[in-house]
Amino acid sequence: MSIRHALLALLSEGPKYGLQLREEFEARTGEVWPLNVGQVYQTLQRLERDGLVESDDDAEPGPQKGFRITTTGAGELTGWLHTPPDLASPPRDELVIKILVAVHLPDVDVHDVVQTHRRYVVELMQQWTRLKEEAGNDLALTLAVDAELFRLDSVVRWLDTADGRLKRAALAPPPSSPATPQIRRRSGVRR
Amino acid sequence: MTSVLELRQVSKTYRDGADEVHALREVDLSVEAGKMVAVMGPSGSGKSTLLTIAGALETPTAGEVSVAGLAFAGMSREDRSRLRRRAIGYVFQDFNLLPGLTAAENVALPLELDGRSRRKAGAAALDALRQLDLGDRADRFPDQLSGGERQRVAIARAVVGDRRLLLADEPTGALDSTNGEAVMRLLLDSCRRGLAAMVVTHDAQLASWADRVVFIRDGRIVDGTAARPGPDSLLTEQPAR
Amino acid sequence: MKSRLRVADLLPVSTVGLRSRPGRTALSILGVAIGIAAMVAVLGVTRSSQSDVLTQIDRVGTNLLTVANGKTLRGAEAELPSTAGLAVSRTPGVSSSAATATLPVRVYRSDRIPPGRTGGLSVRVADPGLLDTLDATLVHGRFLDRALAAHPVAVLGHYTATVLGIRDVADRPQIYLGDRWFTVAGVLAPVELAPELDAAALIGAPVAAALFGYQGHPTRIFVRAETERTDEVAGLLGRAANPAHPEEVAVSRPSEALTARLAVTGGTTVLLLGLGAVALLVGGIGIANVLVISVLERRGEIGLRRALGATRGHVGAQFLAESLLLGAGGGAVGVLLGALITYAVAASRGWPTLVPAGAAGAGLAAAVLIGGCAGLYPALRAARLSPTEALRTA
Repeated sequence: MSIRHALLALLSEGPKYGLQLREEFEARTGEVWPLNVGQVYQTLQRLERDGLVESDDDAEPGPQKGFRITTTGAGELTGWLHTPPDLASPPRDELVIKILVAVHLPDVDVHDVVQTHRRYVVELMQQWTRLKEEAGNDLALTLAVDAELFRLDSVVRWLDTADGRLKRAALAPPPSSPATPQIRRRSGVRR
Repeated sequence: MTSVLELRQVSKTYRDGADEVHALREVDLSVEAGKMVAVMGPSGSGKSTLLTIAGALETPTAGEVSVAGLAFAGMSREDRSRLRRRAIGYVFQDFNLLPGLTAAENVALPLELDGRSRRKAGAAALDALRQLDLGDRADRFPDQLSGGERQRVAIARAVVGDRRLLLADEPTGALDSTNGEAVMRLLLDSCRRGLAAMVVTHDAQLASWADRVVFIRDGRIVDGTAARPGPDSLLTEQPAR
Repeated sequence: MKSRLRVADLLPVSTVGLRSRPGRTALSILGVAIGIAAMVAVLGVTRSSQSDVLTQIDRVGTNLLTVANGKTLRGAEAELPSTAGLAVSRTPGVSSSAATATLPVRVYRSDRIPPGRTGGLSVRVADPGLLDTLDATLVHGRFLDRALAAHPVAVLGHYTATVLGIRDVADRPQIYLGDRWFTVAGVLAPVELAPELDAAALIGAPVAAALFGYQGHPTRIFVRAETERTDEVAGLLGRAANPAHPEEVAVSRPSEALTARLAVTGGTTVLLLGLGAVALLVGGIGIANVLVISVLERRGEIGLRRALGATRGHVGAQFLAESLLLGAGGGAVGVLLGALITYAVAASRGWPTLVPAGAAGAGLAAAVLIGGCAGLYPALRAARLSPTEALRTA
């Protein structure tokens, strides 16, 4: 979550004070991401430096200082909203690495490892779901929780798939085709 | 907390030609009144067998099952049918409603099967439908209802009368996630009113509505979540991640 | 505590399967309906035609006999001795009799008609008692009586009147009979027992003797016997009519021909009923077939019902009720159809419509029975289906 752009979005609705910005930010994100005052002012200063927002010149820096968005700032916001985040290069996922390592360790039951992670993730999802259950009509919170649930769900699905694949691989006869070393080499390169 | 569903050392073995297929092996599970337990596992793991055994549709090869304190062992076929009509409610994935009956008639069916008069059963069915905001859909046929409404009617039928145990097999079936969520909320609401529920699924999002999730693999319960903490724990933990 | 689906509750439940597949329901009903319709129609049509014959017999009476002296070589009616009429009327057991005799004269509308164009009409001498003996009736005018018999007066048979164009006798129409003008006094209604009279002009014996030289030799005598003595009377008539050559006298009973007709229709009825039964059987097999398929198709429904707490009995009863309903529906449609066919055939033949209540009832019962038998196997199959199996394969 980019605080910078979130603040720009809030200012695009009209001029606001610093304290107000912090409260509204938390409300909009379902209070899932608490923000301290320092982070807000630091970000606002940077925005002002880059010419994306303007402040009331005469007022002292503090809760009562007002900010408004500039034309450049509005352009920046629009551009940001329409730019997809970088999903092309996958992040280094600790969980994936752990499973890949476990596959090759002789004394470790990889299914146990998978299950441990699965249980942990499902427990997390249960907590998020409980949060959603109690969120009631809080749309922002529900959306934020949904995002988290889908992310965790994808992890569970990956674990399920890995589980199934590993089971099938264990049942299949040891591969002896000439294609195998090639695959090994390629995966070795990636590692 | 009294457990409504109690499975002790339940095993189920099918004979497939010369082979024996162990669908369930020594399963222990109990579900208390007011709680929802989700059973998660890949297809073929035995979770559907678990559901049919808990629902008295099938008898286990070994072990004991009881619902609402009534042990299945020694029950006649008639007795088990009566138990299904009175104490157990089912919600299936997609084939849930009888196409030739209206929503109200579908809901009234278990009561009518139990010998209640058509009028009384109809009134109870209408009540159950109203509780799920389906009062105005009572006279519609299943093909005149949306997927979400159909599933809600199925829930109404599963809870109508004095049910103790709610069994659901992938209850959100082919519904989109918001409709699926609505269905899960309704199931949870019914639970909170005192029913015990067991939901069988492979979907983690669906399972995460449950109070407890157990994991089943190759007929065995291999793991389970701890009793879940409240949402407050998230707010302090989660941002740190 | 035992749970039972009341019949009233079972009805809407069991019609669900039928209502949701109206096309198939209609077709399977049709199978039985055709069988039942065939049987009801066969019984109805034969009964209607029989009832027609019976009415005729009833009208004619089984106690009517005719006495004739065989036939001449050329096929004309031979003459009986002149004593025959009196002798016959005096035979014990005869309640009434009337003699007739053909005359070798012709009848024409007028004297301008070329001779020979008789239109197949004949002239007969008739006793005044003929009307009573035959139980015949007049459409117009009066019959010959003792007074009229001596005058040139004729009574026309129904066909004769049509051919000669006599519609009414009020204005005393004249016809040309032999070489004389005769006045028409009356017109007969058709006489079933003696169709030869329909094509005849009847005149009295005295005028026949005076004008055409009638010798008093009757050619045919109609006899009404006391009903319970009819057979006995029939045996006596030959000797009475022609004591010299009783073996030449032919005594016949017109109602016998009609009775023979009844026997013939009875035979065909059995054959047609057999065909109807085959159609019904095929219809029953059709129902069984439809239900077996329906059990396979509705495994999901059966599983669901079992899961909802329906017992094997409930499920079996549901399918049995469905087949009974199909049978009853087919039976009802069939009876209705059969009655319609009967009505149509009877109306076109001019018979009274008569659908025997027994046939309708039996048809309906047979249809329900066939439905029940046809549903037995599918119902057992449905009941035996394991609920989990049914749900899994749904």
